[in-house]
Amino acid sequence: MKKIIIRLVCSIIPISLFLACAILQTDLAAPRIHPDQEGEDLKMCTSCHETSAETIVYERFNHTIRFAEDHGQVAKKQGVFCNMCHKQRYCDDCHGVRVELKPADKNPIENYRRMPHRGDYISRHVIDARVNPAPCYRCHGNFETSRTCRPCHG
Amino acid sequence: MLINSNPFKNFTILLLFSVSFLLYSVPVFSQSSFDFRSETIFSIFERDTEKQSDSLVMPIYEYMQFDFGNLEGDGLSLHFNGWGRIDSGDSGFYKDDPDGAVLYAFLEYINSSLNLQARLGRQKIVNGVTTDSVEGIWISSTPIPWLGFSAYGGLPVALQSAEDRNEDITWGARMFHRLAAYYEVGLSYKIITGDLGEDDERLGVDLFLSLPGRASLSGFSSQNLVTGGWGDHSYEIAFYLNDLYVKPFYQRISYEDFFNSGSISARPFRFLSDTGEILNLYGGEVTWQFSGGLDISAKYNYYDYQIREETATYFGGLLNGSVGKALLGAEIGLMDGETAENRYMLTRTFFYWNRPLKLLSKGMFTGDIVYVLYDEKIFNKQDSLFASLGAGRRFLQDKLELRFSGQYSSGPFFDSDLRAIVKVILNL
Repeated sequence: MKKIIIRLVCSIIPISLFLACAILQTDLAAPRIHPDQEGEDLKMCTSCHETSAETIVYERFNHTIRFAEDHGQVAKKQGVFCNMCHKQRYCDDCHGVRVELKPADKNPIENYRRMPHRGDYISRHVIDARVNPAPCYRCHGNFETSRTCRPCHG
Repeated sequence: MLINSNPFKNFTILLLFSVSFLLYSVPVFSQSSFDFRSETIFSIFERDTEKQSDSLVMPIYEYMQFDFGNLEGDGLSLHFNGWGRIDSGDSGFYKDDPDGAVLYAFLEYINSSLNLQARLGRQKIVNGVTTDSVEGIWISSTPIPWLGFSAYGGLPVALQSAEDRNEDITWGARMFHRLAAYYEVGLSYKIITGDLGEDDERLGVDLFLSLPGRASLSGFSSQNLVTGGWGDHSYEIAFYLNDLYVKPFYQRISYEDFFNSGSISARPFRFLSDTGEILNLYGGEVTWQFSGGLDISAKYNYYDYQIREETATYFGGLLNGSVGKALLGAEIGLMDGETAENRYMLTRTFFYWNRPLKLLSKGMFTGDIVYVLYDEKIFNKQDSLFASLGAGRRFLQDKLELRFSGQYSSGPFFDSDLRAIVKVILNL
């Protein structure tokens, strides 16, 4: 009986604290979808927002010319803000486990997005992989995502 | 979940569709909305196959995505993204590959008053040290403004078809402490384990710190708990000097601890762990954004290898500018290793002309050229050239799009490779 009471207390206290804290706090959640601002440049957050606010540094989400290669750290920490404009599908074009078509072939005319592996990457990848194989491994490092590697590399 | 896979996966799909039907049937979800997108891609090109040379390959892809339920507010919603392919030719080019895949299929519950988000089904987990596709459950909450957590568990999708591996499970969590937008520090953990052993178990630390004067420090480190060493460190400082955005960075990768030498890893990478190489990468980038729509950026990387006792450098320059409704861009990249086989120069230029004229207000025209010059010949060829031209037209208040792309490529692997792609996009 004593053990049951201890277990109950140990379960109820953290759950109660969690609920109490959650109910008392306000204004933490971002809206799920960014309001439609016709005519505004949604790619540059700071064209409407301050550089920083309560829980977000808007400046870090500005889609600058290198954002295609730099977005990893902000997306990992605060992906909820990415999802306000981009559905998971958008990320899967490059990060999906098995998309088959390389991003540049799935979106062939969106050339401004600097899609990975545009053009003759089969020749270039040999050098890039020798210089730094870590970025290759992050995307092609397991059985399913290495299908494109297997015909030549086994 | 690859199509034609095991009964558990089929059951998961059936369950998701059943719940979707229930959501639709129950009056309380009468405010549910439905979002649908279809991308049908017709492609044609030539490849040498086991059957014959210059065999015509004509795949037709269907990428389908839909979201259903309460998509803007709190409550339940269902999300799906998958693709299938048929080869309308008889080349046999795809005989070793699956004909389709489900990229994600999950139920989501959001309660903003509790700051709670939960997902059930196949999904991509981006959780600190984890960036894996998992069939299972994920839950995230920020119960206190300065403390939050997320956790997941399930089956690792990428290993379900891996030879020699079965009964794999994965789980992990991330806890973070945050002070408004001033700083955030996170601690994360993940493990993939199965019957075969050769587990992958990692611990990650991530950091963001806002500094005075619009500056910030951010980065992460991961430790391989199987080998006991740090796999990688990656840190950057970003700051502004008037209109200049400056970002120096540092990365360190220990091959022994970063790469996995076991069956969890893909074969081409397994040997890297045994090399014991340690790569230190120093670099920086500078971006200049003019108010007139002109962006210029330069990037420099310096690679230093401890075991090989070599170095390499990379310089990249980018330029983007707008002229009316046309976006124009150019790029140059110079990879300079110590040996000729590790050197190349890349140049690229593109244009993207959206809704060009009043008469063509629903259209778009695009084109780009990529030229690469190698310092050492590859298969007796010194360079490669890629060129593409594209056009598109929107219909039905932009809900339907038709796009065409013609591509030409010539390089060490293909003397002359032509490819035509037609893409039909439907948004409902």
